[in-house]
Amino acid sequence: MEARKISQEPRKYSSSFKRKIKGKLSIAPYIVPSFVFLFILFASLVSCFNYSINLSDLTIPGSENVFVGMKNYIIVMTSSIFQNSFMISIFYSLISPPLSIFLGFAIALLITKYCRRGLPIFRTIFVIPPMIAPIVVSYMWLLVFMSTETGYLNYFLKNFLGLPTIDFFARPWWARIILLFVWQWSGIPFQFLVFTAAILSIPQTLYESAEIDGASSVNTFRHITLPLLKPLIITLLLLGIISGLLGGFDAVFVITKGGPYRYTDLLGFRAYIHGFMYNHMGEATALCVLMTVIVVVYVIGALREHMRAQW
Amino acid sequence: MKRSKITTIIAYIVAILIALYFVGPIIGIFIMSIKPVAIVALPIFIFTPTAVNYASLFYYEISKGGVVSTKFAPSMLNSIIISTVTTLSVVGLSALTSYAFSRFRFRGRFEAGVYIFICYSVPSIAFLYPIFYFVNSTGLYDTYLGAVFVQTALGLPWTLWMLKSFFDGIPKELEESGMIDGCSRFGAFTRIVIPLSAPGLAVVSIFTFLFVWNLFLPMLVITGVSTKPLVVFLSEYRTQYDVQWGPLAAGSIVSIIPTCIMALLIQKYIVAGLTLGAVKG
Repeated sequence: MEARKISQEPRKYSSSFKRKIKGKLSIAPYIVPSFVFLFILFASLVSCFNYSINLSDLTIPGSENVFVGMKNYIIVMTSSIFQNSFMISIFYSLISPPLSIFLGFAIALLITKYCRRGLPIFRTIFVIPPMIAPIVVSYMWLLVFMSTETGYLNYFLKNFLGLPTIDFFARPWWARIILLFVWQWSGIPFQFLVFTAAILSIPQTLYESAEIDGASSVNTFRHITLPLLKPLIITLLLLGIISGLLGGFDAVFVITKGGPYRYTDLLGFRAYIHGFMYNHMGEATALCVLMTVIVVVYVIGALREHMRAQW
Repeated sequence: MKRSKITTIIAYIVAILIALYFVGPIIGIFIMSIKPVAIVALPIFIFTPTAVNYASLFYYEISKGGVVSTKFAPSMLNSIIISTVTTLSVVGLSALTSYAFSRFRFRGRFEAGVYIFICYSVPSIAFLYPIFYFVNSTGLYDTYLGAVFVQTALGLPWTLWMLKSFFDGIPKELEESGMIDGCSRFGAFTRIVIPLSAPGLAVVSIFTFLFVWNLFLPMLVITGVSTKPLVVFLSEYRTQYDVQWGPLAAGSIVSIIPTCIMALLIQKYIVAGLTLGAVKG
């Protein structure tokens, strides 16, 4: 930063304080514009908190904002509706990302080991699903699982296998599994792409020397591939858990709408419908603040090392 | 180590079956989009293909001969406008800022990074209510400006993170030599760093475009009749009572065509972009 000064006239030695200010000012034009936008995110958290402690009910016309203190938070913490949503979100965040990481890793291993020649084609195929809008993905799977006889799967069950049709969206566990299917459909290819790149970046010489030493392929995997990919797997898990905990709105919105009877009522979906459909803005914003706090604590606690490495 | 042919063949069969699972729904929805209206939702696979569903995206007939155009074309245009403008503003802003984060050392640098990462990780649902109030109270509801503003805020963190690592990969010495030759810091940035990181900028732009193109939830809330983007328009084909499969399938195909083209364009770089984390929900 100081290199420019060399060509100019000899610098007047100002006080160190002045220099500091000058240095800060030369950085400011680079940083300030984006932080104006990023500040919105902070401001929205503050205003969210403000709404959650001040605003009780919008359903009564003409009612003024009243200070309600922590009432909304107590409702969110104790009400069975929200506890249900928390449990479902935790369930998905513990099942869905590990499953897609495991399956993506397995498919990547299979294809890099046995189908090396077809790898470019498979890569091209797997690039597309993670890039398609979640809304469209959800519709695609809705088509397959439609409850009535027009659903492809039900049609297949009935006309080819002679089995009774299943009303997928009326059965709690089926509805949950379908959501899992939808997320895996875009999750697995994503993990596959990451893992193929990682596997291909492992130096081939390691495998060659292992082969010379007579290691079996299981041992090669256990002692070369797995240890080298361990940091990546941990990072993916940590990132996957938090996005699984709070994301996943689109599929629920299109496919199950939280049903049957709140069995797929994810946190994100609950936060949306509680405010925008049932008009309990106070509780919804309280939930949003809680979610943000969870993310902040999680990011600082669990992802600090990950960031330290990259930033 | 020699593998028998049978293993390879079995492996290929398994891999192809897996690939079919991922291609199947796309093909299914494409087949659906070219079906005649009468059998559109039925799993019948013998029919003469028609473009009637694509036509019904744009207009529908009322009574005799009267034709009413739908909101599809305007919403497509909305999506294109919003995504393009947002991409430009996001990439422009974040190029500046991530350059600063990559080159300058200052106090609070890591903390700012943590803040950016938190902004990236917080799901957009958490910003929904404040953004909704903000957009309503400033009169930006249902305007392009509001949509671009909100999406820029949501898209920035990821881009900042990505571009910083691209800039880290460009040797400092190049700019230093430029500055010795009399270039200003900003001149070195625009004349040396930007051209060198052109591929990175392209990749990040495409990713941002896709992120904005696919972003649903905030758009559902802050856009109304006149700025509704494509995904929100598509989501309205499912009503409480039924799903209008024909136009929905056609619309989905139209909406994923640009996605697919862009995904294939940046295929080589996609992994670098994806490793940061799952696409934000």
